[in-house]
Amino acid sequence: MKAFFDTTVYINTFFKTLLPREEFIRLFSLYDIVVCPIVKHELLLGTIHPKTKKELEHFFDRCPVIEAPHRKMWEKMTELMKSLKWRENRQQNDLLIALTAQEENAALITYDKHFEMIHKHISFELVLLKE
Amino acid sequence: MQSLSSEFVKISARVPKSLIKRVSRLHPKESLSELLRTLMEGEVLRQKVLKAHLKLYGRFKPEHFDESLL
Repeated sequence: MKAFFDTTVYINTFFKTLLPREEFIRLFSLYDIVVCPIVKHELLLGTIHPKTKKELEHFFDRCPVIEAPHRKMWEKMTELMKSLKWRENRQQNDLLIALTAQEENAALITYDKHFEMIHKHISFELVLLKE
Repeated sequence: MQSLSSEFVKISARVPKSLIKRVSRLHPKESLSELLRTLMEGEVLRQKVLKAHLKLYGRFKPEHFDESLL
């Protein structure tokens, strides 16, 4: 099955080593790992060191990046933001990430418990890692 | 990374015959070599992506990422 990591997984592996290397490798034997464009955007946005940013850009060039969310997904996200009365950009991104997982039939691998709440509104495969 | 052909030879020896049979049943119109090549290409890509990720495992300082910017 196809799967992608959210930003928390990249933070906990590239910037910290909270996820042990062996467990990180194991995920690659269970899933075909791809990159979500929103996660790529978030990771580059939060990276403040120029050399680190350059290395990350080089990394993303070597990984398969799936399609960016299309118009209907943005519309669905807007509907959900309104109905849930959410306002923050981060929540908007999380909804788009979940909709991307649904659209691509891919599992989302994350540390972010917030996705459990989103999972109640959007049907997608959620793999929640524990810190 | 090595060329696809050399990877093909190396990995083809590791693919279980039972897996090839199972995939052949699912895709009866494709030749075995085509199926094997598809499997090999998938495996080569998987290794390439894993290698790229492992290269950056624990590489950056936590202070190089600011979550408040998201």
